[in-house]
Order: sequence, then structure tokens, then C-alpha cells
Amino acid sequence: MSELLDVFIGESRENLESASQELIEIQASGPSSDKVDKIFRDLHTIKGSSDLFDIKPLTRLAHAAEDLLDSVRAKEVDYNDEIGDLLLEALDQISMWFDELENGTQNLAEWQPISTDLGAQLRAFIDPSQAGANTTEQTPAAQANSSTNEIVDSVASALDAFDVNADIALLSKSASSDLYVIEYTPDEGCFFRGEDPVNVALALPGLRAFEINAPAMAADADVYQCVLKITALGEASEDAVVTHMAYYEGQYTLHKLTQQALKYRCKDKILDSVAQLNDEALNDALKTARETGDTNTLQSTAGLLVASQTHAMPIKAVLSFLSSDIDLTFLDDHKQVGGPDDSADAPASGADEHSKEGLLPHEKELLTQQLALMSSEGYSAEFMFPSISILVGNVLKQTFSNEAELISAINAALEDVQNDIPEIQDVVETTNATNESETQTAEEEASQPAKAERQAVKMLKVDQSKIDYLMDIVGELTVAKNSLPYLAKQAEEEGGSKRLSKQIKAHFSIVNRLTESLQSAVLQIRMVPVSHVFQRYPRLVRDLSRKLDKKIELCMQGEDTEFDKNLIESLSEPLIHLLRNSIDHGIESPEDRIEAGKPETGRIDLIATPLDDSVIIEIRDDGKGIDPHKIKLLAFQKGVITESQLESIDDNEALQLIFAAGFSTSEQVSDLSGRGVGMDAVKTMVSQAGGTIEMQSEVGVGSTFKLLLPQTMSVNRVMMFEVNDQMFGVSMDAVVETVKVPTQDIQRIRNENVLVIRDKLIPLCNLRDALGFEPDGGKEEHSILVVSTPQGEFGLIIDKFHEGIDVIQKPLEGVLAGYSHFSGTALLGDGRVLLIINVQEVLSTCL
Amino acid sequence: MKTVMIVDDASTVRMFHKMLVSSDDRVVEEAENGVEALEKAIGTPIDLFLVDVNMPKMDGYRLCKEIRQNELLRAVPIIMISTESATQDAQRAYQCGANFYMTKPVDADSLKSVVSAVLGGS
Amino acid sequence: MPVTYKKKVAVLTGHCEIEEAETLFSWLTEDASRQLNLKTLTTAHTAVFQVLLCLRPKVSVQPESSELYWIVEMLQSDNNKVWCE
Repeated sequence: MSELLDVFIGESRENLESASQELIEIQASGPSSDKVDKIFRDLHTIKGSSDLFDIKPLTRLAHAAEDLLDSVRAKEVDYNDEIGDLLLEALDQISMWFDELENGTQNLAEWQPISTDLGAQLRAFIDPSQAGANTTEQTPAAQANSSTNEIVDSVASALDAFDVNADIALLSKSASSDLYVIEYTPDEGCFFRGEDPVNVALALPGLRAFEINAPAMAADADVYQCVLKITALGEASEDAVVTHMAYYEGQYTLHKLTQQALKYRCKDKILDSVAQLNDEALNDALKTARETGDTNTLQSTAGLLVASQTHAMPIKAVLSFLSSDIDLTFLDDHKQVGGPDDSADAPASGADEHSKEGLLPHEKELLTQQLALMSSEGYSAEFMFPSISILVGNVLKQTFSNEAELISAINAALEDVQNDIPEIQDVVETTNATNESETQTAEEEASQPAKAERQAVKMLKVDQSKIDYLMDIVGELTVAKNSLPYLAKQAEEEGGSKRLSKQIKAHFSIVNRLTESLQSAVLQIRMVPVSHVFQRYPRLVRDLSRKLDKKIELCMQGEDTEFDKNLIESLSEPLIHLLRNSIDHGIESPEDRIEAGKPETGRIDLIATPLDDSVIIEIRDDGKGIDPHKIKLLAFQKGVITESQLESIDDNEALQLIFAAGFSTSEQVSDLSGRGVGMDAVKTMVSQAGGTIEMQSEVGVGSTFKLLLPQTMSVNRVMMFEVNDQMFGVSMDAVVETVKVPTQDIQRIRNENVLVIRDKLIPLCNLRDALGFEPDGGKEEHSILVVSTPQGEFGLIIDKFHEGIDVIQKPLEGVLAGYSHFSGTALLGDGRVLLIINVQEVLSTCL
Repeated sequence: MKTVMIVDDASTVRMFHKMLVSSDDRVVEEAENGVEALEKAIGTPIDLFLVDVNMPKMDGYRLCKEIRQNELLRAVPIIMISTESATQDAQRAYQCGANFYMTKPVDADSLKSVVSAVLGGS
Repeated sequence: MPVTYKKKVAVLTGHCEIEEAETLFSWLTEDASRQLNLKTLTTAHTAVFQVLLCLRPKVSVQPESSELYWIVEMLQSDNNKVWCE
């Protein structure tokens, strides 16, 4: 069954997600019947499916939410934000429970009160008169009944079953309002689970009375089979009882009642008993007490009579009740406190469990129903006869050619088992009666043209690990493919066969093409729209802005832009960070905004735009912006930049400083503008995903964060090069050109090596230095790799160029993970590992 | 060999019902909604529909009507299974052409025996 | 040893574990006139109580422990119903 649970959770999570999304849209743009309907259906599904598992609190909560939505749908309740908030809370709670279920850490006893509480809050919207009602009233047993003054039939019969006078006795012994009747029938095998039912019952909170039903045991009975039935009455909150009985779920039925309800029920008995006592003193005292509310005399009289010990149990109970400190107003309250209708559990016709041979109960039920269908008003032989005759035929193992034959066969079969015909007639009649009223609507619906929405795209749900595995294999294939050129070279050099080498090369191009298509096909599978991540944000923005009393509108664009699933997930966190920052520190309070002449509601734009193989994600706010001068100063104070840099860097460069490690800690920055909190972490996450981040800001106008991310993470074309006899790679995207220059062409300006190429000044970085190798002096010619970065073009001095190659880049793991110089590794066709340089990081250490 | 088609938008419920209904001499088809059920039913001979009420695209009531209007499917018995126990829901189901109505979560044994009876099994 | 079996009377002492139920049951069913001394019985497992309640044997000495008032009441009356004091 755990597989079933997995499926259930997976599916319900989707329902939850879609429900909360709709809810948020409703909060933004007002309720529409479509959306309410969608949410209703989502919750309905969760409720329905959850019923298959023993997670009643969850089912009940989902049910309460569903009922509320049903009322909204039926326009019985007007939707408002409060309802939305509460529904969201309920969804969150359910989602948390799913987490627990997945981890196997669920504690139903803890769930219970939460479910009861939230459920009551939800239901309070459906019927506001219930708002103040005792929340514990919402138990399954008491659910049908909202009034505290009523005793549900099941409770009443449980009480009566215990003792005719159990109600009075319990009333005389209880002081608080929460009372219960529990019917505890331990499983036969419960002893083997280490359960000890009698002692469990004895320890029930507020136990007032109990009965242990023990059948006589035959001499050969199994003493280790529990045959006891325990009924207990007591006074405690439902939560307390449920908690106490937590381990015995399913073995007991709990009935809940209030003292108030009990009083009403006992009213007549009390008055009768007093009359029966025929004690003048007591009668007078009771009269006075009822008229004046002075209960002193009554109490002492009743107390005296109790002490006289001569009365039967019920009277004694009445007396002791009267002698306690009580409110007698209920005795005068003539409001009818009738039991609820008991029609609900009227047995379905033919459900007689003890039917004789011939038809089984459910078969009888099926036949009866078919008969009812055939005699119903809207019955159309054309439409219904075929299925009915097949069904009946299957049940009775006969075939029928016309209705008369069919009806008489059913009647005969039912009569065989002495089922009384009037009963069937009843069913038929009631069916007819309701049919009349509904036939019309049914016809209306039927006349509407059928909306044949066809599912054009067939979706296939696949476990992500399978895709990952496929991706891995494709990766290995790519690597294997890369070894073919080596092989061709070898064939030519060692085997001396140019022809073979040529053939291998020809084959390589085919394999290469196929691998590429395979790769892009797999990558395509992994692509999901960014809405996958974006859809969580409206909720975040809404919650945070409420918390901060700000008004913020989140506008999203390009949600359908596709992205590699893994990348998207690694993106989620930095984006949340950036959004939080915009909400927290970017957007001003409504008052400040009005003062600054801006609209009261702030606006955050979240925009995804595809650009070649990359995606640009922008987070724009129209908040107060950041002053680059303050950033510069702070960066200088924190030692992030030197004094000379303080003067030389321009505003744009200054803004990027907020991403620098060590630039900020929260306290210092919040004085300034609040920005910068954890921005270096954001940057790290983004560059780990192979992307870059920039920020632009204008004081008073707003800030923009711009993330440039690769659309797929997996295949990179890298340029290989050699430094100190080791192979390195650099992303081909970054490479502008490769040049070889004589040493004398390298110039020194302000302590830095630079090169002039086509009238452009390019700062140089010697990778030998940057990577910590020995300098290699006295070279006459240098190989320089010109790379482009957001800060402009730079030249990397290397030892030797190699070819470009497609690799599957893997993130650094283990000890290497700490080296920010490298963005990842890749396996080469000949088995060597290629370290891929993170150009930006290398440059920052070297310049 | 008899074929039962389970129509329910909740895959959990489908799985559960499938578990209950499956046997050596039965094939179980599944559909997520009325539209899919009708599509699938065209190519496969169905002996019984187990239909949920609340579904997107085409709900159970509508599906029942469609089945009854369709000459090829008309003779297939339909059992509706709904979370709504209200009498008017059952009534509506019957009006739309269902042969039998059960309330979710169905009792495992009753579903099994009802299905067996309708299919004419032992 | 929580249960000591004498000729006519079994003496239950302290806490009677579930393991006692079987022996107690067969000892009691062997001869309907056998009695129980519950004087120093304090608690027992449900299985033991079940034997007492199903067979309703004669009790020679009632338990002293106030915790067990209910079993006294149940075995003395003709129904197994008890109101707590």
C-alpha cells in the first residue's frame, strides 16, 4: 500500500499547488467561478483520495475546505481575503502533513487538534452562527450537529445502551461542559500487540463510569484473545481523549456531548424524579430556585435527601445533581430540543444481511435499483434497456429480449427471497417524485452541445532519476565519441593507415551528429517552463508584503520560457533571495511612496527572456534604488576595495560590489540601504549554475538584477589549452580570439601587463601566476587567449592552445568544491580529467 | 475475459479501485476523465464502467449521458462512485443513465461483490 | 510468583502479568468451586481481568487496593457496570 500512498501524495501535491495558485490569482484579481471551481475540485480530489488512508484529520480538514468552497461556489458565502488566507493556511497545513507522511513521522494525535481547529474556522464561514460554538463539536460523531444543545442520536443511543439513567448519573457527576461516551472494542488480537485495554480504559481522562462487557468463556477458549467490550463515560475534552487513545485508532468510537445538551435531555427526568419523591421541602425549594435563582435551599435539601441513602440510583443522581452548584434555567427553557432526524441511516432496501440462498444482499440491491430505474419517470427504453438487461442478465444468468420479461424475472428473483414488494414500490415512488423536478434540468443539460475537448498532448510522467540516468549515459556517449579522433590519429600515426583514419573520421562525424541529436532530445525532455519556479513567487510576495505592510504587485513575463529542470531548481533559491531583498529593502512603505510621488503600490517585475542558448532573468523593482557612492564608501571601509579603486571605479562597477564576498553583513547594510545581505551567496549560486549576475540601480527610481543563465547546463563547448603541461578548459562562449604575440609586444602600464590589439587595450593575466604554477621566464612568444567578461575583454597568458571540444561539465565535488577558480570538470575521451576555468574568478585574483 | 474501465481523475483512487477489481479474468482500463474514457472505449469492448462524478473536462454525469447516447456503448452497465452521499446526487446519477450508485470511499468488499455480480462472475 | 495455587484457592499478588492468564483460566475451569484470594492484588493485565470477568469465580478475600474497587463491584453485582467515586 505504500506505493499507493506515494502516488496519492504525489498527486495531491499537484492538486495543492494548483489550488494555491488559483487562490493567489483570486486574491489578485477577484474570484471567478472557474477558479473557485478548480480549487473545489482539487480539494475534492484530495479529500476523496485521502479517505483511502487512515489519516482522518487530513481528510476532515480537506473536507471542511471543500465544503466552504462549495458554499462559495453556490454563492451562499461571499468570498473575501480572510477566507483566502484561511484556505491557504489549510493548504499549507495539508502540505506539511504530506511531508510528515513521506518521512513517516506523522503523529495523528498531533494532527487532530490542528485539524479540528482549522476545520472549525473554515466552517465558521459557512455558518457564522457557529463561529462561537465549541470547536471540538466538529468531531465525526458530532459533525452532523452544530448546536451545543442537541444530542446526536448515536450519542443518545450509546448513553442509553450504557444505562437508562446514564444521562442523569453522568450529569450529576460532571462539572465541565465537555463530556464523552466512548465505545472501545479492542481487536481480538490486541494482546499480541502488547495492548492492555482495561488499563487503558481505566486511565481515560476524566473517567466517570465504565462497563466491561465480558461474554462467558468456554473451557477451551483462547484466553489470549480479547473478547471484552468496554464502554466508558467521562468528562474531558475530545483532544484529551483522542490523545489518550492515539494508539488504538480504529478500535473505538468516540461520542462527544456537552453538559448543556445533557441537561436538556435530563430536564423531564429531573422534574419527574422530584415529583416522584413527593418531598414538599424539595419541591418548594426547586420552585423557589427556578423562580428566583436562589439555589441554596435547594442544594441543602437535596444534599440532605442524598444523605438519607434510601433512594434508587436515578433519584439519587438527580438529587446529587440538584445539590451541586447549578444553573437551573434550562428547566424552564421550553425550546424543543428534538433529536436530529434519523432518516440518514435508514437501511437501503434489500440490505438484509441474512438473506437466504439465491440472491446476495448486494445482488438484491442491484436488481431493486434496476427495477426502480425502469419504473422511473425519465426512463427511456431506448437508452437504458440494453445496459439494464445486460446487468440483470449477468446477475441472474439469463438473457432477456424485452422489458416485460426482464421485469417479471427481477420480481420473481426478488420474491424468491421474500423481499416485500411494497418496499420496492417505495423506492420506485421516491425515485419518481424527485425525478419530476429534475428531469427538466437534465434535459437542458443534455441539449447543450457536447464540448469535446480533446487532449492533444499526451503527457507522460517519468521519474526524474530515469531522465538523469539517460543524461548520464548520453554524457558518457559524448565522451566515448570524443575518443574517435584520437583513434583516427593513432591509426594514422601508429598503424600507418590513412584510409582507416579517414574512415574513422567519417564515422566520427556521423556518430557526432547522432550524439548531438540525442543530447538535444534528452535536454529537451528536461526542459520545463520557468513558471515551474515562478508560480511559487506570487505567494511569497503576497505573504511578505503583508507582513511588512507594503503594497506590492508582482508582474511576471515570459513564464513559458524553458529551462533545464535542474538549473531551474538551483535558481529558485537565489531568486527568492533577490525577491525578498526587493520587497524588504527596495520597495518603500506606501506612505513613503506617496510622499515621493510614486503610486502607492510598488511593482516588481520578474521577466524571463530567452537569448540564444541562454535565458535572461530580470528582477526589477520601482523602489528607492541604491546609491553607488554609499556602496563604494562602505566597500572601502570593509576593505573590499583599495583607496585607489575608490577613486577609479565608476558607478556601475560600484554597484556590482554588493556581490563581493565579505562586502556586507546585515546590520551594517541595513543602515545604508539594506541591500547586500547574502548577495555574495546569490552570486555563488548563480555562477555555480553557470550564470552571471549584474545589478543596475538608480536612486529613487529602482533597481534591476539581471541574471544571465545558460538554458541547458549540460553540454558545453570548451576550448582546451595547456598551462604547465596540464590541460585546462575555458568555456567557448567566453573566448573572443586566440593570439600569439612576441614578448616585446606586451606593455606595462601602471604595474599591469597589457596588450594592444587593433587599437584596443587589453589587460593581461598570466595563468601561471593565477593558478599558482612556477613562472616560466624567458619565452619569446606568448600564447594569449582573449576572453570576454561583463567587465570587458581580458587576455589570459597560457602555454599552448588545443582544440575545442564538447564536454559534459560536472560540478566540482569534495575538496575541489572549495576552489572557485574552477567552475567544473569534464572527462576527456582518453580518460583524462579537464578542469574548466572560471574566468571571472581567476581574473579577480590576478588583476 | 471482461474489461472494466475505471474513470477517475485521482490516480490514487484509480489504483485502489483497480486493485480491488482486478482478477485473472479481467482487464482494467483507466481513464482520467470522461473525454479520455470515451476515446478509449471506442476501440475497446468494455463490460463495465466505474465512474467518478467529479472530474475535469467531462464529469461523470455527462459521461453517463454520452455513453447512453452512444449506440456502441449503450449496453455497458455503469456504476457511479462518488464522494457525495446526498440522495439527490444518486438521483442525478440514475437520471443520467447510471445503473448503480456507490459512495466513496467504497467498502472494498461491497465494490468487489457488486462488480462481480454485474459482470456475471461467480 | 504473582499467583500461588493452593488446593481450593489461588492467591493473586501484586501485578499479574498476561502470562498468568492461561494457567489461571485452566485452573479455574477445572473445578467451578475454586476461589480467588485477591487481597494483595494491585494491578493486572487485561487478559487476567478478562478471565475474572468472563468466569466470575468466587472471591474469598477482596483486594485491599482501592485501585481495584471496580472489579469488586463488577464481580459482586450482576452487571459489569461501575460508576467512579
